[in-house]
Amino acid sequence: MKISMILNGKKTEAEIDADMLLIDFVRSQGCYSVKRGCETSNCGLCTVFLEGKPVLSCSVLAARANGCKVDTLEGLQEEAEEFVPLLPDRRRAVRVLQSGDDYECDCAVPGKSGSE
Amino acid sequence: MIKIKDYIRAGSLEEAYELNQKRSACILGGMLWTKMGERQVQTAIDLSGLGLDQIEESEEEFSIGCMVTLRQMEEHEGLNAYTDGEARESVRSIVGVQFRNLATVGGSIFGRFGFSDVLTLFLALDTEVELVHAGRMSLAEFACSKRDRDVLVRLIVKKHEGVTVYQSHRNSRTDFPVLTCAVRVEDREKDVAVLGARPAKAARVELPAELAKRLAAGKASAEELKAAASEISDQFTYGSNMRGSAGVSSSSGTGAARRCMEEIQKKEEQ
Repeated sequence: MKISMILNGKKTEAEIDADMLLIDFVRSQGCYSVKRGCETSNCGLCTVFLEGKPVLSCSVLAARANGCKVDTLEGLQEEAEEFVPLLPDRRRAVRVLQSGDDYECDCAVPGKSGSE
Repeated sequence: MIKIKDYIRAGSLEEAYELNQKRSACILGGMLWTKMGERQVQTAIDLSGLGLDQIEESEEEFSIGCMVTLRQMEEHEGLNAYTDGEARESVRSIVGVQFRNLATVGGSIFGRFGFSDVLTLFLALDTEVELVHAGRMSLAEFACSKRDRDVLVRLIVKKHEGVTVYQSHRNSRTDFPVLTCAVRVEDREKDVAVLGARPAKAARVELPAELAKRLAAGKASAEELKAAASEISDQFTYGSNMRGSAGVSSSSGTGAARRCMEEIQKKEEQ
């Protein structure tokens, strides 16, 4: 099926399977700040903003987000940076946020910044 | 993980009902519990385009659409004013905000889950459910009925003067509850205690009229409350699971009923 959404301010269209989850969709569009931490709808690492509300993207069908506005940390860099000084190693944390790299426990940075 | 072949956003309740008559179809609520299963779904039916995501309040009642999220319930001023903040209390320990922004009231109620905080709260209130095919019935009747292929449209909570208290016991802050308890004392002599997550589905019993009167007047003594709590708790069955034994559930049930009644007295005094 075909879906279309405003992802980080940009109109994004794609052909997807009916059971594709929003987390897999946004990652397929390069939003690697969104991570799968638990698979049990608990941890919050996969938080995205759906129509401005924080939700667990691991538990929403991408099809349900059809026609909606979706924001990830990639589209919220300025807001995310505000929280980074709270983290112990700011330079490293900023590098993670900017590159979307996923290593060691720094994978928590995007989830932490998103939910703050 | 659930597998879905087709996704359809229903254009009407009738369409949703027709589509849902096949065993391979599934109505999506927040999809949090459904997602965890190994089910193969032919047609996933989404009700999110039907405007059922609103809580409407009138003089006589609240109408709560099936797609209203637990977060909406938590933040709704009218519902929290009516329940003395217990609507918020009943859902605040359910995982986190991101989860509660997805989980729906309809999904929680239709599932008749043994661990449901939401079912426990609404059973304590004068609640009816509206279904596409079966029409309206009391939530207590619906909770006992067998799961079928009908579609839950909304909950209707009728307003009365009264006081509500909700408490849950959890092994850790955002885990499933190991016991849920709600007590409601009303002016119209319909006073109930509900115990859920025992670990069985929430059920309710009526409070003896004399006890309810003394609670409303704030006059029941500690001994009276202790004895009454024990009597209430004895009317329920308890089971064991990985979170606790039947003995622990039963003691928690007695304690929770007593604490809820103490809280009712405090609220009545205010």
